[in-house]
Amino acid sequence: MKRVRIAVVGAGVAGFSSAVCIAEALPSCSVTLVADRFSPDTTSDGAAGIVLAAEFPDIPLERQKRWFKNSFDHLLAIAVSAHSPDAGVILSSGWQIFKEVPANKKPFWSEFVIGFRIMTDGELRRFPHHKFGHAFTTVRCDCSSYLPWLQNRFRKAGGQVEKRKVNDLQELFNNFDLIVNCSGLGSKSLVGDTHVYPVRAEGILERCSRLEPSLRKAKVLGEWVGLRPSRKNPRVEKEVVQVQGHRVPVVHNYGHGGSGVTLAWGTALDVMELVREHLGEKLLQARL
Amino acid sequence: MRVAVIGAGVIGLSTAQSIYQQFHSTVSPLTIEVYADRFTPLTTSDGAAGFWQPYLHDKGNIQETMWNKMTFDYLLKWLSSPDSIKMGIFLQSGYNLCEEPTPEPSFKDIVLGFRELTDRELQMFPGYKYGWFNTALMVEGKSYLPWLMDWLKERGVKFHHKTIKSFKELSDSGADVIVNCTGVRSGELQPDPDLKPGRGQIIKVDAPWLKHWIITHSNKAGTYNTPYIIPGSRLVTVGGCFQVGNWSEQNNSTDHKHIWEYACQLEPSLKHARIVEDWAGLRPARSKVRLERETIRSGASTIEVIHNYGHGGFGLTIHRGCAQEAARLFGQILEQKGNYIF
Repeated sequence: MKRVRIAVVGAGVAGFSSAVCIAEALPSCSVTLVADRFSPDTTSDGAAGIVLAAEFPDIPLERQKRWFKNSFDHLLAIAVSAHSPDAGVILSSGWQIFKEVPANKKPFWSEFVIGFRIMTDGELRRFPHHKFGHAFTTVRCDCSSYLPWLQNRFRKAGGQVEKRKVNDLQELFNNFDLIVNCSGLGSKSLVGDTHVYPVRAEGILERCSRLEPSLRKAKVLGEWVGLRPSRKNPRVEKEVVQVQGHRVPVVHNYGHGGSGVTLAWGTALDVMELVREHLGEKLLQARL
Repeated sequence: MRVAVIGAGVIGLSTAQSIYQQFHSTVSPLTIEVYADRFTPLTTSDGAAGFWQPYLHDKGNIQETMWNKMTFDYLLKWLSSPDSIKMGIFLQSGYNLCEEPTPEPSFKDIVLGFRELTDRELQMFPGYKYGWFNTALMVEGKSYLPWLMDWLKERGVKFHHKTIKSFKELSDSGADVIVNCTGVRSGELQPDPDLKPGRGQIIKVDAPWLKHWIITHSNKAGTYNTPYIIPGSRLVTVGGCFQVGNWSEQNNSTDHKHIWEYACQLEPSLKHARIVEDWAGLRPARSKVRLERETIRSGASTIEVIHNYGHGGFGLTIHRGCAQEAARLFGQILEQKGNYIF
């Protein structure tokens, strides 16, 4: 049987996670990752990489829970193994503090992180303008180490990497049977998604120094500006694109906003299932 | 009033600070001088990891628990200052691991967010059946002691690089009160069979991915004789041992092998760590802290001594509480001498 040729567009955390999931789970496919920017120049590289999730309004809660749990368990296994330093994935404990008490005191992901509890009054005392907080242990994933580590894993699974800019998905239709679109903000032009918008934060050092005064004594090593590929909801779904007589399946995995690191593996597993499903359909069609 | 403090570890310097703070505005003149033959970074306080945590159980020493709490609360307040890191103070969370269920420790209500470990967390540490998680403080001697010395120098406290051979030596040269903060070597000034060295050896490594301290406990092996891993502001301290009666300050290669092997079992990623150096120090171990006054007869006169030594492996943990108590004892001496000006 001819090998199915898959192109994954994008070399950020969503791209490499998807590429690794597919290459490792579906050896009948040949997977090529195509991107113009690689670590340390991707959006993912600038992320702090703390795994905690936001809630998306239109995605069923069960699916969001599954994404989070799968991502967390995958990263936790790395964090407690000897791979931790190479992969840049470590355990990290901390606090999430709120100025007002939120309506939902226990977010959906609280059951998946470790040791989740509400902060005590004694702990909140340090943060005068904040009335509520969560304390928990989670994982932190530094993409400037994690992406090269994933790339290594991708290569070991037989994956190929191509550095080039894709201006139009049609460019890929001749050479690939299925496209996985992990182009983040690039989706705006690549697939004409007007729902993707960049989000950027300003005045960071001053606001953070008020929370943690010792930061005023910290040496600034560098600044980084990135645009989160935000969308009301991440787009993780299959689309069949009709072009010049071709029907090309495109599996989208973009729009994770500030939750890219947190959700990458979970959404990548969904992508892998969508690809597997599609291959199953094709096989069935071929037999009929 | 002339005060001579012997010892420039965390106990000597913080006691000098507390005496100054409590009495400089009411006692005039108040001359404070610190005598020591070892200063930062060569004191016992400098070599310690700088982790705030008392021994698990206080054996009824409620005063020590109170002094520990005073110290924790005092250090915690400093976190709101940008200088906290210059003092070597920062928060860090971590795990206390036990081989079997253990009664709750004396510090459970002092630290932040104390709780039992969940089953998932225990799975991360095979061989340990029980334990706790909490957020505690670090106070690194290598930063804290220089900060204290600067603080004292700015207020006119003088430092003398000298080995003091007897209390009389200082009293003869004019000291009205002597504060004995000589740690493990207190026996050289006054024999104390209860004071013994508790030798510890540690390995400092570069492993910046470690963000939690991990302390293991074993009733069988005894305090700090089982592995512990304590990340610091720059390097990670890996230990440990607690050898009572061993006066050697030299690094021992058998101890190194043993400590490293057990620590790597506890934290496998350590095998990627770069070893920077070993260090051995002598904890001033005693059944309880000696914090009390003594009036020593010397011929026709008396020498007023405040003892503040024997803090074992919890000197940094308890220092402020003890310093404040020592200052209170100093106040008692002043009242007796009729020097107190209200």
